Amino acid sequence: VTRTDDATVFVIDDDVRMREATERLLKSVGLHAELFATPKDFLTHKLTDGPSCLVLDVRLPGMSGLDVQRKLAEAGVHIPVIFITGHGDIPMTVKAMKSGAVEFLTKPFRDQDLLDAIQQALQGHRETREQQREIQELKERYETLTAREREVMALLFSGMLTKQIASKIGTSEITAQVHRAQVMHKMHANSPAELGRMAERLKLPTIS
Amino acid sequence: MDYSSAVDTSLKAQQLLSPTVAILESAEFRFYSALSHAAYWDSAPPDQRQQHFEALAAHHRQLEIWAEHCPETFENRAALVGAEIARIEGRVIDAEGLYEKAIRSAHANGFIHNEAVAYEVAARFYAARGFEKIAFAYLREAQYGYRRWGADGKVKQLEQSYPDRRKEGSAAGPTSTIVAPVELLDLATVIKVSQAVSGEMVLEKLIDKLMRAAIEHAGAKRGLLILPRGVEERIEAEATTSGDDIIVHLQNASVTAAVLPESVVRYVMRTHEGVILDDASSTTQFSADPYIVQHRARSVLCLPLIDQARLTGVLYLENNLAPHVFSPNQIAVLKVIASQAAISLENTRLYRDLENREAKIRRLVDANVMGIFFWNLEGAIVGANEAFLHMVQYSREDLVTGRMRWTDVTPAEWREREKRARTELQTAATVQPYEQEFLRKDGSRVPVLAGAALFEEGGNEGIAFVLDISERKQAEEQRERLHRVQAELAHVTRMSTMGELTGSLAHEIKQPIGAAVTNAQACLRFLNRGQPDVPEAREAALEMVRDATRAADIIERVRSLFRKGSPHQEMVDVNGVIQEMVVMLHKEADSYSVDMHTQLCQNLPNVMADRVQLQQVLLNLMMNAIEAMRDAGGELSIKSQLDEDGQLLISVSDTGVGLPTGKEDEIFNAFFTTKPQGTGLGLAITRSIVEAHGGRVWATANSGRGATLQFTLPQKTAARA
Repeated sequence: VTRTDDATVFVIDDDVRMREATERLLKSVGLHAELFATPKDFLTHKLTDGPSCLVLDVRLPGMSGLDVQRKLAEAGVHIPVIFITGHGDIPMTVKAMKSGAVEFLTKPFRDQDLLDAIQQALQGHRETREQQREIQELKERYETLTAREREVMALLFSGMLTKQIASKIGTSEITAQVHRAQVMHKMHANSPAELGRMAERLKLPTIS
Repeated sequence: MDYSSAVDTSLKAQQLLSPTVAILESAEFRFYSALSHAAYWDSAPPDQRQQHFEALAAHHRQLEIWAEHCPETFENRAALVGAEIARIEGRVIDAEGLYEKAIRSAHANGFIHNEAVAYEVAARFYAARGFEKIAFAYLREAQYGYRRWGADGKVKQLEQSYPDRRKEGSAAGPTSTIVAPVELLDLATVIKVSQAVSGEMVLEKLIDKLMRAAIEHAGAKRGLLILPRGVEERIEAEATTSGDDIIVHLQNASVTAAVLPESVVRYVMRTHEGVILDDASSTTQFSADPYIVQHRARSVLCLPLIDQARLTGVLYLENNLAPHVFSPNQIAVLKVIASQAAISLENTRLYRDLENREAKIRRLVDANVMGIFFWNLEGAIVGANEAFLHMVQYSREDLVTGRMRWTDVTPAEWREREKRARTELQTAATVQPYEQEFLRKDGSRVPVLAGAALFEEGGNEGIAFVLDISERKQAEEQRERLHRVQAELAHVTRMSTMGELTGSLAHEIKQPIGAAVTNAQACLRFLNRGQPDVPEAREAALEMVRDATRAADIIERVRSLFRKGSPHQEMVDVNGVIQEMVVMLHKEADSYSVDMHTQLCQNLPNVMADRVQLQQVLLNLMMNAIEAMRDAGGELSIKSQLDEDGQLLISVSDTGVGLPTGKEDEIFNAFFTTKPQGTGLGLAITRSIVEAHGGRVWATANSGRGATLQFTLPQKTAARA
């Protein structure tokens, strides 16, 4: 019915029965859940690598959902959070969404809403993870460039021709062409346009 | 005195006497004729003296004969004529003896007039011989006799004949009495005295005047005025004489035998009749009175003072030196004075009452315990006490200059009420106290309670009293404010309590219901798969059943909290219940590293109780204990025992975070909680259950860590709620 990958849904609920019911619901759609009674338990748990999301009641014993969200951000853990609240608490909702909550569900909610939110969160997390992985690769490629090559790359994605680049860096056109080929090769770019997109993702400054 | 005409007259009378004339008339003729001759003998020409003497002797002889046959009637006459003969013949000793014989015989046989005549003739005898004092004494007796006989003209004639003796008498030493001259006791005197007395409104002065008048005109040595004072009579004044002086002492003494003849005074009080004793020491109905005996009282006069048939007092006069001091004439005058005094006394009493009343009213006004002012219907305030002026902050000058009007001190919106008050005054003469406001001089207001009354119905002036009720008003306002705040608070509390309660209930019940729903959804999903996963679906359905049951339990639990009366009374083994709960909570305790111990009294009696409610109590206490240790673990010990009073005592101790400082007493209140997810109902429910079983629950901090919660259960108790 559903795609099964290594995705994990973390559930924090102080009510053991609710916790287990949620686990069962997730299981029925083929999702793996990890259960925690308190935020403390969750925060001290070693998180598995892989797409995941957190289902969190805003009112939890000892620590509020917002606190948990903040602590995760502090620890550099970027994981989508689905908040569940018993009472429609607008200020808290606003705060939670500002802090990057994916969804805010007010009890009672339809199981499909929760599952949709989870799927969306997991998908989002997957994509984020993918993008992050790509950027990481680009960074690693960029790391292999020499200083001169980085200079040439900057001029390239700023739209300069080889001749202009040569004049700009004060070399012969031949030398400039060698640098250009080296950059394209090292960055796995097929065209200056693709190189431009890479620079954009690496947030490199353009030179006018 | 014209004795010669007397002799002539007697001669004419002799011619009228015929043998048929009664012997008594003849005796009278002979007696007076003889005395006329005897008296005339002194002043008659010497050549006629013998003739008179013979006539005298003839009458004497006849009187002697009659006296031999009937001494009762004739002895006094014979003796007196004999005495005159002895006097003329110079037989002084014989004369004295015969005078006395005549007086004694006349007195003994009741011939008052003869006695008086004998005294008079004897007085003349002694006077002629220079015995002035003796003569005077005899003359007084003569006067007294004539007065008693009713011969007032004769008395006056005697008084006028011996003016020098009166003077001598009044100037006499302590043995004499003050003589009240007859001519002063006439109408003029009565009028004068009664005017003096009736014009006096001050009781003390009236008494003084009255006593002086009485003593002066009665010739008394001592006088007492007795007035009723409450239930008993008191001696109000005593007048005594010293020479010509009369001294009046006001006093307030008991009526006792030491100062007056009580029997006389009591008699007068009882009968409202005056008593006069000519000679108290002689045999009378009062002669045995201790005072009369001891003080040898002689002349006593006691008169009731009667005003409109009411006894207003008693006047007592005495002269212990001489008998027969008080003459009928004097008594008549004294009676007039007495009745005038009675009226005056009553008047002064009324006047004094009036004065007292006025003083009381004055005191009421000046005490300034409340504001009082006098007003007229035209709106003027004609008088006021300090309290009122202070209240409205006007000065006395404002009042005196007539600038104060009660219409000025009444605020505009009270005019209508005031108009009604005025109407009420005109119809009913009084206004029942009502609350209003007065304007102070500075325009500020003072809330007052005011009432008023006209001095007389249909009149124009009246009195008003005013009480400053600012403080009361303030207190009332404060109380109202407090009430309002309390009501608001109660409302807020009620609302928040309801909110909290429904919130707590909603949360408690939503949890298992939410779980049930989720399990149902999971169940459906397992079944809806292409390949239905029946075992998982069954598992989910079973969980659903458990969740729903839990929700029902919670509802039942809450219901039992509010339900009156418990139908599940039975004999319960409390140790058994404790052990059940220990087993039940074992998993929970383990998960928080809490070790549980029990220390149960082996011969604990069963108690009449609601088993489920007892479970609830233990569950609440034990769960609280575990919660208190959830972060660090610890020890939970449950102990049962019998206390000194034979009650079951169950204690639940932990080594957790302990009681909230300073709020040990509040933890049993509904909705008190220290836990973010707590409902604040657990301990409240616990307490209501324990108390319903007749027990008591309390918390104490442990000496080390944690707290101990204990409750008692009386044996054989029946739950009341």
